[in-house]
Amino acid sequence: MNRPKRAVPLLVLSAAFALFVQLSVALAGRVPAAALTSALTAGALIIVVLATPRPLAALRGLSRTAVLQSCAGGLMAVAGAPALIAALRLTDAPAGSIVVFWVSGGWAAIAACGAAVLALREGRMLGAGWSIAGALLALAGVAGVVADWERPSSFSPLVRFAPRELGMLMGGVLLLAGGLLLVRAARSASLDGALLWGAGSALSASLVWWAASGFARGWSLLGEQPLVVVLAAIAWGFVCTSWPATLKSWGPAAGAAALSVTPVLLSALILVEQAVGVAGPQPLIVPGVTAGSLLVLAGVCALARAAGAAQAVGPRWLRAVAAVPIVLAVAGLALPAVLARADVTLDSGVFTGSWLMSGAESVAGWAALALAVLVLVATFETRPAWPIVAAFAASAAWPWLRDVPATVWRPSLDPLIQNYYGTEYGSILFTSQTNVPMIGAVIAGAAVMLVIMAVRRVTPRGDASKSQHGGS
Amino acid sequence: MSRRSILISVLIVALVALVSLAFLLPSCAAKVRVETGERIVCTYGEITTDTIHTIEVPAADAGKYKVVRETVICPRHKLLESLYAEAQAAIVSGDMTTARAKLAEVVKLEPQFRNAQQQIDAIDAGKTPIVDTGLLKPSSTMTITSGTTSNPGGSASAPEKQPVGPVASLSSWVPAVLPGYTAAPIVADVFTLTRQYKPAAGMPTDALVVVVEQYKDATAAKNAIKYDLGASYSTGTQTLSVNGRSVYFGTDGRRFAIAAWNENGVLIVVEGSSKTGKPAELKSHLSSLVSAITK
Repeated sequence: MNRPKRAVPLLVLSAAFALFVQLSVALAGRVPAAALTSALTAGALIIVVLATPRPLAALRGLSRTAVLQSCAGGLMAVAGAPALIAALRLTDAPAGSIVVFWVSGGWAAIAACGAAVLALREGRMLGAGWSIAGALLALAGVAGVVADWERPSSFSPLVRFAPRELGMLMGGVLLLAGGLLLVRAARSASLDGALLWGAGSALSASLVWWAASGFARGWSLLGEQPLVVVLAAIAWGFVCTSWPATLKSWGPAAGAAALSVTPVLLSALILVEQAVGVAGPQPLIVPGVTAGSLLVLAGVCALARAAGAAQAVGPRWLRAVAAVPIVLAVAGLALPAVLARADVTLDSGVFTGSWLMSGAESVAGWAALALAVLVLVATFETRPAWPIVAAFAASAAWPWLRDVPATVWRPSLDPLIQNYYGTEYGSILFTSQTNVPMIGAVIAGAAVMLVIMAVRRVTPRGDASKSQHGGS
Repeated sequence: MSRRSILISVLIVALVALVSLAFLLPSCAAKVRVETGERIVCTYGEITTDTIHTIEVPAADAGKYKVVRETVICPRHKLLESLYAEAQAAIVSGDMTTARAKLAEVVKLEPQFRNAQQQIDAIDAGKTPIVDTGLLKPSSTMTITSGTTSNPGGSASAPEKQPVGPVASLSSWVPAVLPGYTAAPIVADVFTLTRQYKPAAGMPTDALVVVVEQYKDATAAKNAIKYDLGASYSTGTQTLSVNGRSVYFGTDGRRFAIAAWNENGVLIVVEGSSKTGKPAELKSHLSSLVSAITK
C-alpha cells in the first residue's frame, strides 16, 4: 500500500477521535451509560458494515480462534473504552478539560508506552526511547492546551475525582489491548471480518447491559438530543474502523500521535468558530494553547520516529551533555515554580491566601522534562530533524507555560473556598517564579538541539549510522 | 527480554518514581500564607482596629483563617452625631443658645464635622442656620459588616450572597433560614444550586443539603426523580403530599434519606443524613422541612 493511502486511517482516526471526545464530554453523565454505550457500539457496527465490501464473506473468513480474539477485542476496544467514560463521568464531574486530558493525553501515553514495550521486545531501544519521549510530550502538551482553555481553569486532575479519572485512563488500556487483539485476529484473515465480529459482540454486550438496567429511561434521554447522539455514534464508528487499521499499518506509536492531537484540533475549531461565528467571548489563552500545541506537535514528531528510527554511532560526550537537561528538569520539578494567590469572600470573612507550587505542579515543569527526554533520545538518532525542529519551536514557546498550573485546586485546601474561584466572590491568580533549574533545562536542551543538528549535518550518513528499521 | 531491555525498563520505572516523588514531596509539605485578623473602620474613615497579619499555616488548616472587615460608628463619632443631632433639633425649635452650645462642643472635638462650623457662623451672624437633614437620627446601631466572624462555615445572620445568572431564580428554594439549621453559603453551578445546612444539636440529622436543579421541562425533572433518585434511594419509598405537592421520599437503606419534588421543571431535593443510621425515621422531619421551604 502506498504511503498516502496508508495515511488515510491515521487522519480519519485523528478527526473522528477529536469529535468523539468532544461529544462524549457533552453526553456522558446526561445519558445513562448503558444506553450511550449501546448507541456508540451500534454506530461502530453500522460504520464497519458500511465500510466492508462483502460483510458475510468477511465474517466467514475467520477461524474459530480469530473469532474469539475479535469478540474479546471488540468487547474491550469498541464497548469497554467508551463505557468507562460514559459510566464514570457525572454531569460535570470530572470537568470536561480533565476528561479530555485523560482520554486524549492519557490514552495516547498508554498507546505510546505500549509501543515502547513492543519496541523493547523487538530490541529496538531507540524506538522505545522515541515512544517514551512522545508519551511525555503528549501528556505535557495536552495538559498545556486544556489548562489554557479558560482562566481560572477547571483543570485539576487527580484532586476531586481521582478514582473516576483513573478509571477513564484505563479505557486507554482497553482500547490498546482490544485494538491489538483485533489486529492479531486479522493476521490470517481480513481486518474487516475481525472488526465485524468485534463490533457485533460489543453491541450485543452493550444491549444486554442496557436491558439489565432498564430500556425506558435510556430511550427518553437519548431522544432528548438525537443529533448529538447520532454524531457521537458515527464518530466512534470511524474511530473503531480506523484504530485497528492504524495499529496494523503504522503501529501503536502512530495511533498515540493521532489520539494526542485531539485538544489541538478542538482548540482550532474554537478559534475558527470565534473568527467566523457569533459566539461569545473567546475563552482560550492563545499563547498557552499555542505552546501546548507545539509540545503536542513535538510529541507527534517523536512518535512518528518510533517505528523507523535509525540508531547513530555519535559522540559519547554529546549524550553525556544531553543528560544535563534531564537532571536540571527533575531538580526543577521539586523547586518552586508558580505562586498562587486566592481571594475569596465568604459569609464568615475574606480568605486571602498564597502558596508556592513546585515545578511538578506546573505544566512548564513537565514540559521541560519531556523536552529534555526528547533531546536525549535525539542524540542516539541518525536524522532527528523533524522532532528537533518541533521541539526547538516548543522550547521557544515554553515561557508561555511558566505560569500555567498543572492543577488549580489543592487537595488539602477547604473546598468551600475553592468552589468560588472564577465567580464574583473569588479569584485565583498564578504568577511564575524563577525556577533556575527548570529554565536551565529548557535553555540547555535547546542548545543541545542546535549541537545535534550541527553534528548530524557534518557526519556522513553512511558512516554514522547502523540501520535499525522495523515496524512495531 | 534481554538484559539490556530489562535495564532500560528499570531506568524508565526509576525515572517515573523519581518524578512522582518530586511531585508528592512538595504537596505533602505544602504551606499556605494566609491573612488573618480584623479591620474595623469607622464610617467616617478612621481605622479603629487593624490586627490583620500574614501567617504561614499547613494547607489543610488554611480555610480556618479569614480576614473580617467591619464598618462601624466609633464612640467619638457616635458622640459627635448625638451632639450634632441635638443641635439640629434645637435649631428647629428655635433655641439658638442650646444649638450653639452643642455645635461648639462638636467643633471642639472635630472642627470639620459636617456643617457645624457654618451653623455657628450663621448663629453668630444672627441668622437661622439651615437645618442639616442629612443626619435624621444618630446612627448608634449602624454596623456594616463584610464577614461577621472568623468561624468558617458562616451563619444565617451574615449578609446573604445571592447567585447570579440562570440559576438566580432558584435561590428561593434554598432559604437562608430553615428551622433548626444554620445555612452555609450557596454554591451555584450553571444549572444547579446547592446549599448545606448545619443541624442544631437536637436535630435527627447530622448533615443536610438542599439541591435545586433546573431541567428542560417538568417531564425531565420527573424522570430524574423516577430513574436517577429512584434508583439510588430505592428503600422505603413513599409519595408524600406536602402543601399540595407530590413529594418523593426514599432512603438508601443505610444512612441517607431524600425528599424530592418537581416544580415545573425545577427539581428540588432535600437530603438528610441520619444520626442514628435509620434514614426511614427522617420521613416526618424531611416532610416538615419541605413544608417550610414551600410555604
